Amino acid sequence: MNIINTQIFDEIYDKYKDLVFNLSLQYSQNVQDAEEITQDVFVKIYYKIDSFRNEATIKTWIYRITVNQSLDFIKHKKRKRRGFITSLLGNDKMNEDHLLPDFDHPGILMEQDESLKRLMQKIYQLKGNQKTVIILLKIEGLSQKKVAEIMKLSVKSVDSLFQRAKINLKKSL
Amino acid sequence: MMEQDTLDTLKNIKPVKTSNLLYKKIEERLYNDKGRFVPLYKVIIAATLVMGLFISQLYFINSFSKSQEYGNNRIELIPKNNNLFYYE
Repeated sequence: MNIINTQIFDEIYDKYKDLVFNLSLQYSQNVQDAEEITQDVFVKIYYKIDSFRNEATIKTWIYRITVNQSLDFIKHKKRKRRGFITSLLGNDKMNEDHLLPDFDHPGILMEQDESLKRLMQKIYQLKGNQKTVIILLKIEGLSQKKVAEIMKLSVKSVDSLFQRAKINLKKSL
Repeated sequence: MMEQDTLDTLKNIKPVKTSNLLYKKIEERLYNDKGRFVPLYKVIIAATLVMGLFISQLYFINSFSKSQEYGNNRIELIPKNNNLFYYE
């Protein structure tokens, strides 16, 4: 990568590091994992910056990469934990609570709000798309139109996912 | 339906500051990654050499087996002693 692209990368990092880290934290609910996801995201940005086409704004593009990396990270982590615990118990059907991350979200812990922590843990257990819609709409505070752009879905689909997510959260709480 | 108030509590989540060490970790990863990625032209050169080696091996094996065949034919042209007549 040439010097100009390195400068661009540094600018992007300074501008978006908190956004990427906090979004990763909403998914992983753990500072260590969020840092790892953030590193993955910026390494990806570094290699893909040359191929970035202005189909969307750079912010949308970064949101998209962060969402995808976070979901991949969680999937990989769940698979690893499930594998170890399944072999330990010799049982394929197991309580999903075993798959919850070690909760370490400073943004929630400082509020000392147990109900908020429980809600986040239930959000963690939602399916990928539903989890994303809740995080982007309700934590990031984005509009449905913006969320649709990030997820490459229609606004109607985003709304439908949001309604399903709410129903699933209500069932589990 | 889920009470809107419950989801609205998510707005209480405070943003967290990124660690200053994170950039250094990213730099280290990018530096380590440089060794992992092989440039495409090197891959093409290596593949061409391997293919060339493979083709030349085939050629030599083929020529060697042909010369063996020719060698066998020469041996057959030499008349064998037929001891049947002797014993009769």
